[in-house]
Amino acid sequence: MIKKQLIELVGKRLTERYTGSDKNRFTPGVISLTVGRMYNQMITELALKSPNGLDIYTKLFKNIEVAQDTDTSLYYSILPVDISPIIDAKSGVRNILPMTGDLVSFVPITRGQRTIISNSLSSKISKKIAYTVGKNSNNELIVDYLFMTSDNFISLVRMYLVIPFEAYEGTDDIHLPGGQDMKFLEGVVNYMLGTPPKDLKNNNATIKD
Amino acid sequence: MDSSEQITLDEVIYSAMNILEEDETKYFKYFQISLEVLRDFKMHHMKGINHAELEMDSRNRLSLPSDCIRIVTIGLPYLGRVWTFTIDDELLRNTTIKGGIEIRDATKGEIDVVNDDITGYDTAGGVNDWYYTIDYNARTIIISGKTISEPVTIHYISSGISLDSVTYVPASALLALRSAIIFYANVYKTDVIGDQKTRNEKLYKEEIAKYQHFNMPSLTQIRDIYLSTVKQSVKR
Repeated sequence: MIKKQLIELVGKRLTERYTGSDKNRFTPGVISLTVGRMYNQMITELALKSPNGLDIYTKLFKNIEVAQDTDTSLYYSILPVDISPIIDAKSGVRNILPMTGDLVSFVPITRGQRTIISNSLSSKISKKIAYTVGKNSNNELIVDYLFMTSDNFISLVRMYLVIPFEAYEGTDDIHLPGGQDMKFLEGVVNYMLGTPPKDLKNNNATIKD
Repeated sequence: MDSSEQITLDEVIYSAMNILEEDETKYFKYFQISLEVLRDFKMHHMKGINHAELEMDSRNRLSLPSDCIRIVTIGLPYLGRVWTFTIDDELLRNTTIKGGIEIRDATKGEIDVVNDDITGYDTAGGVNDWYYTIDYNARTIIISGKTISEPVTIHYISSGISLDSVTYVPASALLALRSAIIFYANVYKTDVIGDQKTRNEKLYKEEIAKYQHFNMPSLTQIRDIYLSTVKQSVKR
């Protein structure tokens, strides 16, 4: 669903169900923020449940430059956009590929793994480039490359990123998990109307005839 | 077209990761295990001797190739074969540093072994023009004897791991290597049940046995070995 349409749809549903007198209560900005919170939460839950199922929720960014840090000599890229902080080695950077061809592979690792790998035999003979996701001293989101040297240097890469709702353009297609569109929309509307979610637990209540 | 008998080590790693449904974040874990498994295979299960021609330095020393696990033969080419040197672990391994340069100091006994013995009917043991000892810690072969101007030929067992290029392994070893990687990847994990570890171990041993059986000498080779040990008379 297009991002703009999703916000409009929530607005329309709110208008239908809202019985109060404050007509300016649900501005597009407020709706967008709320939809964003729900969407980001949904992606995080999905990532925890099925981290390999996030491919459809990524957006491709091309021609991302690789630069070399003058202090550490390490190669890095500044991410072009904010990412969803997913709790695994890849975080919101699900895939990195060379801009052209696929002769070099990029493997996501954590900073903890980085210490282990750097001190093992694999670091001496690896033909792959490892990467970690983090922030630099300017608080910019970056990808750090390990085992990238002047020999296998790649100046431009493409990345598949999971980005928060706010980072999408108004005309971007937003994917919701299959079959959960209505649940998502109703969740946002109910939250904004202050309707408590249905209590589906019986809490060991006595079964009545 | 038939598929190649050489496959890359990465193909073996990805085959193991595919079976275990691991994602790419685990690549380096499996890469490290595969390197250790391959070295073990090269020492105990795989055939194949590597060959190198090495130039001797001014101190009569040769640097071992980086992938060399063990030396099989050292010698000079002679009539289509290698004239082997004789191992002598009593050779002096030390050299003297003079002016920051490593040299051999004759006053300290750092000289070539010159063997003036003449082999006769009553001489015990062989006499060679060249002797050697290997300092595995220093990755050096120390040679003593007559002056050698040509490259020395060595045959050695390689770790199979290439530092400079892609590492290849025989495709016939795929299942044995893969089952070994899977076995070692799980054997120390606490969240893998013992039953599964036992199954992995059984499969690993079966695949090793299959691979060794595949690499046994053929009947013709065994016959040749046997015939080389017996005397045959002329058939009239």
